Amino acid sequence: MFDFKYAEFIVPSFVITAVVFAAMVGLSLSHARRWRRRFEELSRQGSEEA
Amino acid sequence: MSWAPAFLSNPERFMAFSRWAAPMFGVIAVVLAVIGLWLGFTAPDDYQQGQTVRIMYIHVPAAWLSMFVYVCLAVASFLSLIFRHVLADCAAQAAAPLGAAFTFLALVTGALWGRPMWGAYWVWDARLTSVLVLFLLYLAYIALRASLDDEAKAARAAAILALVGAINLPIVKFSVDWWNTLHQGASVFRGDGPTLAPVFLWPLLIMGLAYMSAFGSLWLVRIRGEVWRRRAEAAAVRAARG
Repeated sequence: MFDFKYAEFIVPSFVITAVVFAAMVGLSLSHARRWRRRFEELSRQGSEEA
Repeated sequence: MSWAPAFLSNPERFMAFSRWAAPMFGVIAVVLAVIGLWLGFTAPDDYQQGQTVRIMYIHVPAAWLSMFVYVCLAVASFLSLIFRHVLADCAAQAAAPLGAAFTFLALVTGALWGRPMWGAYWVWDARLTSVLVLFLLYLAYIALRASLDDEAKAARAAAILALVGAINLPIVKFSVDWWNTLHQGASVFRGDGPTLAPVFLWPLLIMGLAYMSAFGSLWLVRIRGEVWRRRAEAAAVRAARG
């Protein structure tokens, strides 16, 4: 099991990987949600005007 | 694989499929990552590399994905360029940031593995340099798309760049065979079978599948976002015209 030898290399590797994955998930979801909301908003406005 | 072009030509079918497939791949990725990391951290130390072998479970899948995502980007770019499929263009555009992120991870975790093993974070050997070129290709693709206002022109120019850049893929893969490199040769995908002991190989393969599922999930989410963006912009144009 992990005994912290070479921890200065192993821990940053896993931390950076976790941060990049979190960023990928967060940015992908926020991009999709933002544009879905925008499209729904515009569609609603369009149908109200019609 | 005859169903794949059908999704590319039918956005409605793709949106219905991706609605349940994206979260499913996400859950599979998390489950596989937990299993892979558990097996990886309970495996014995490598007799030469000691504890640093743990970095392999996150570095090697990131390196695999850096190339796999570029294959997806090149195929989607080809379909977009030749058949003018809007969804193929969305797929290409959605893949590029994910590919850049996986390549960044491969470079950074590789550097952190290289320092204790080779005595250097970075050497200009053929494998490392060709992966750096791959990373720059992803950035160039993203920058090119962002730099042109005309979306159709941007898509065409970026697709051509992606296809030209695909020449780098065999260079990355075979660099360790063609040149004398500090980076080790292939130890999993070899003609004569893997050279890794099963105790290291299984966690690595499971982590590879976890990364693949994570990419599948995120790619679908990003393509959906791109489809919504284009629909929103089309709706905004319609609204402006009255």
